[in-house]
Amino acid sequence: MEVSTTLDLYPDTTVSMALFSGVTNGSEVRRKIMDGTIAAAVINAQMVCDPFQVLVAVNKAVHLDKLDKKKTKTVFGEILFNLSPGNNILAAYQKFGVQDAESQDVLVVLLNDLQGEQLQQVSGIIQGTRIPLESLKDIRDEQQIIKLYKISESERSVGRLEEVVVCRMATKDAG
Amino acid sequence: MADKVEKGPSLEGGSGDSLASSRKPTEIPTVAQMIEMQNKAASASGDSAAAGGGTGTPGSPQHPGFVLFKQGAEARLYRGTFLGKPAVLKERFSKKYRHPRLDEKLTTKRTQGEARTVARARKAGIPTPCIYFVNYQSNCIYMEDLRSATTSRDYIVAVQSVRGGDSFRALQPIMDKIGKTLATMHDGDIIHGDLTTSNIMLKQDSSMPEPQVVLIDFGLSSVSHLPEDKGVDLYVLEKAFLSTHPNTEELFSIILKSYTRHSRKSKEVIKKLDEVRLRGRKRTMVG
Repeated sequence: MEVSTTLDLYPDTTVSMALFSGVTNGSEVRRKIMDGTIAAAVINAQMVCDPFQVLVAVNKAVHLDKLDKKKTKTVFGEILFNLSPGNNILAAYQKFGVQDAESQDVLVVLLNDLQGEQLQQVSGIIQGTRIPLESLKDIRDEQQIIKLYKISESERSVGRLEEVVVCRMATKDAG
Repeated sequence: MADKVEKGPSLEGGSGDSLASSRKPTEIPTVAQMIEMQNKAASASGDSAAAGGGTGTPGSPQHPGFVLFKQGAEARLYRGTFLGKPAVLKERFSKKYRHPRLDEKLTTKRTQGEARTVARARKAGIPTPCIYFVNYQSNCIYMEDLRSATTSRDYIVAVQSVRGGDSFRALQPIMDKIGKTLATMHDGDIIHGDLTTSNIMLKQDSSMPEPQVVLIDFGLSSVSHLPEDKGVDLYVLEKAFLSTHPNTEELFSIILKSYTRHSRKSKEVIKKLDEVRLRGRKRTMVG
């Protein structure tokens, strides 16, 4: 069920994604991310339109990591930051990171987890059910995404929601 | 002239003309039919980049998996895949005749500027290829590759080559749409800077009942609210349009009429256009 992709521009990096539903221990997961026990990006699945959106964020994070131009401390923090429309790191974590909710759906992003060991470790910590990545489109909260990115009616008409969001993410540092 | 982003298989030796002539000469093709024909011709001619997305193609040494398909004055265009999607890579290269420091600054600024206006255009509701990733280190923009699209240039040529057809009437709805899109763009204070019929694409896939106008190549674009700049923008298109498609004054006037109808500030712009027509694109500086 784990879906892996190799980045076209960085063939030495593999991205794996796994979707968990009904996660009950959000604050514990956040603590373990902060103390470094979990080396992964754990994303609020409601804010993700499409896996492609996450891949774009990962690609940019890896790119900036290689240049040593990250805005945040870790490559995983950078993934969350890249997903966000603004330049406020805390706001990005709060919106796109693990929530405090009693039950939530999260998307776990791992780098270079070729043997699946990292996923096993993370699965041991996250209390929730693994569901197929395809369910993402049922989980996404379009209204919240449109509100956060401030997508107007005219911009929405240009293309599919994930394209609108991806283009915003890619051009966010163009000023 | 800057880099012309001519997407679409029409690049392979003017296949636009041959396609049109290989059809029954009495039938005017629709945009959808035209796109279908072009895509078929591309896959038949073994254009792996356009047809398959770089599987097994060695690509260029600097950009593995990407195949060069167009070289302009300022940038090179490659086709390939980006994270599973067909993509176009626009790479601005350095100019050896410029001072290295100036060159670096200019190239990066222009890459950034293009990304910015594309974002601005999309916010204003102008369809333009989605940008996937910008590499400011190598001045590369990775963007969506429009697959079910043709340049309006190829389409106009194809329609006009139909003998005995009423090409004016057939192209009217498309010209109307182009005028409306340009009006929206100028109302958003975006100046394209290089409007030609090659940079105005027509997109239509199975989910779309009608063709959509997509603007490409914002490499020379800028932001301005001045009627002067908008007038010059239209003047550039008029020049390009009439020299690419001879004897189409009437056709072009549909674009202007539609522009006038849809733009909020069309009056001043058209007035400026008339002025620019008399003196040319550059302002006269006397005294």
